[in-house]
Amino acid sequence: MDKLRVLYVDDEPDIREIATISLGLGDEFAVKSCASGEEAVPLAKTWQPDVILLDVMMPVVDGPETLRRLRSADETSDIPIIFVTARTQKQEIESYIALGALGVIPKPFMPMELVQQVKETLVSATR
Amino acid sequence: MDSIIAMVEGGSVIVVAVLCCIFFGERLRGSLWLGGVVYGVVFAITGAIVMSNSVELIPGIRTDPRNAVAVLSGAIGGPVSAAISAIAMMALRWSYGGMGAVAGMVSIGAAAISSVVLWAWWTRWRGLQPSKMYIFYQAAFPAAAVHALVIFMMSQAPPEIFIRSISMATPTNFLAVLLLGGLIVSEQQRRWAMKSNIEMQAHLAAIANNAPGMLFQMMLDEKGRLLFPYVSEGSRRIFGIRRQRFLQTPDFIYELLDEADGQRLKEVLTASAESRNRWSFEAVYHHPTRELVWLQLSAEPRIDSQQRLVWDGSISDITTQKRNEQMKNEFVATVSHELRTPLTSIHGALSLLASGTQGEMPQSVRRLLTLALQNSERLKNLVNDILDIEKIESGSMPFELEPVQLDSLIEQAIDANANYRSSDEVTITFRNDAPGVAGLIDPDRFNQIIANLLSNALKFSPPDGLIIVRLEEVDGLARISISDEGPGIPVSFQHLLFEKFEQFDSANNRTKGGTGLGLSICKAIVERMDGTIDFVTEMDAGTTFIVEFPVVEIASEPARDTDQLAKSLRQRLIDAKEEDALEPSRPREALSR
Repeated sequence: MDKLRVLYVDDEPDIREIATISLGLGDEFAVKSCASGEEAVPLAKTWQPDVILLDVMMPVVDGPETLRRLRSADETSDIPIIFVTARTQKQEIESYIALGALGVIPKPFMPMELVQQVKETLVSATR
Repeated sequence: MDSIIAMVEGGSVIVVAVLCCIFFGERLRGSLWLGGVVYGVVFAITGAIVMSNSVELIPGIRTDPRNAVAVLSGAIGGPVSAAISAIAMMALRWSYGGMGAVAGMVSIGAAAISSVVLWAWWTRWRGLQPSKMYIFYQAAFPAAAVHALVIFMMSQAPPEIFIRSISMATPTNFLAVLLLGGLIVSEQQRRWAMKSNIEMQAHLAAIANNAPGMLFQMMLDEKGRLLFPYVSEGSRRIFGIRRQRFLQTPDFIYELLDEADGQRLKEVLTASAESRNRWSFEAVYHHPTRELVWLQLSAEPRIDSQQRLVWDGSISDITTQKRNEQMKNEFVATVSHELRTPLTSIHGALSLLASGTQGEMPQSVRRLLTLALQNSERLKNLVNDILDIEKIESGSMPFELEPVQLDSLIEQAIDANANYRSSDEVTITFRNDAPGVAGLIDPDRFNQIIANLLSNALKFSPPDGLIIVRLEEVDGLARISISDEGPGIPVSFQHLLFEKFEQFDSANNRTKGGTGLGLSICKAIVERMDGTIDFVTEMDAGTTFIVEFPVVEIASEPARDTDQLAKSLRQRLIDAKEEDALEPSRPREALSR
């Protein structure tokens, strides 16, 4: 049975590593990660993840810009995107949703719950 | 006929004196000596003129309003004036000689003295502000009573002459004082009113011009065009533009504001003209010499004395306030990000280690790991609590209220709490006395409240203690009570319980963790959801926190099993891939099937 493919994008290597381990728990997801929006777009085009988890605050190409680039490319325009961020003030969350993000997972995330949170966000968007 | 003409002549002289008094009086008001001398001279001349123009109304009896002049001199000019005019008139009467010389002199003197006594009494009692009532007293006492007494006492004339004299002199003097004094007082009052009106306007203009912001009065003419009957000097501070510009070309304000803000102003005026409600909105202005200026425009409608609708209002510069608000938001966002980024790594790494998924480790390491994890948890909660407080206080915490059954939420919160509990053998029992009862709440926030109260109860429970969570319905309210068997809350601390950063501090409590923000957040959240929170406590017996929400009706809804849905989602995604193996997968399409 194919696993759900998850791409995790974050410029902080420590967080990336922890997120990769966390998403791998339970062996439900196939996880790849990269450090920037610039890397994320070509990787998403070739690997075709089922969902992309994006950090918001990244140097050069930030989360929202990465989302725009993914949306504007045919191969990646339909991939659901969830922001994983510490910037979770009301107006910030509203702006992510307005950009077309499926949902927001706040940092610090709970490693043991990350898989469940991703699934719930995907499911809640289909309701 | 001659006597009437003479009376009119006498009256005219007094009127001229009165006008002189008013003219000088205004300039010399409050100056007892100089004012008194001027008044005295004017009344002395007046007295001399009226005495040389006496009228023979009754054959053999000549009369004139000399006593009235003496009274008015004292009443208006005070003691100095009374003395000067009285001495002059008495000397004149002496020079005339005759049978009634002494009586005439005494009557002038008595009139002057009595008017000064009344003046002194009135000035002490009411201040230097003569009224018509004062003039009436001045007319009545000296001109009638004192006058009559003096004549009676001093007269050497036969009673017949005396009676005829009194019957003429008393009413003439009384009426003269009343009429002329009244004239003076009403003229003085009119002038003072005018003057104080001008002064008041100057005061108000000074206040308005020095008030922060720009004050204005605004109205719409019959064609709906904007008019400014008044604009304060603040226009220069706010817009860098003279007030006359607004008064002359009121539409100018639309040029100053952005197009959208100008439209907004038109809309609020139209709406307020109909509803008669106060309006207020924020706008931006591109100042010629400063950067962008934020303005707050507001006004209150009223109907003026000419039955026109006018708005009294102000435009204030709120740029600093706006900038501070923005800086605070940026600060909070930055702090939250900068603190949470390292915390994500620390807490994440510790959680993964402690979960045992990364391999087993010796007991001594596990213990240290648990300590580190608990403290990173505490730090995380602190950051979250500080951000929560900021959000609640700034009103930016989102609340999505919906009718929700409380029992299932409470059960979830208890289960979640059980997962985080350390090894203490504390038992949590849920007594559901109101199954299915619902409140209009935000489920996430409700969960936050229960989790917080449970964690408090756990913190203060003795090992092997019992926590009872109870849900009941009392008088249309859903009551959730959480009771522990802890040490209780000391009386001295009870009033601080819901305050920020307050923790009952004793030797062993510091080690129990917590930020001191939990209960103040709980209270704020409960109140935002129309509920109340309170507590009952007994030392060494335990504490019960009681949260109440109004009960609402709920339409039954099947429970959602997210796990189930997640499974079916995954299956659908897999199916979609298998069906369309050549094409790249389209999760969005798959999701929407």
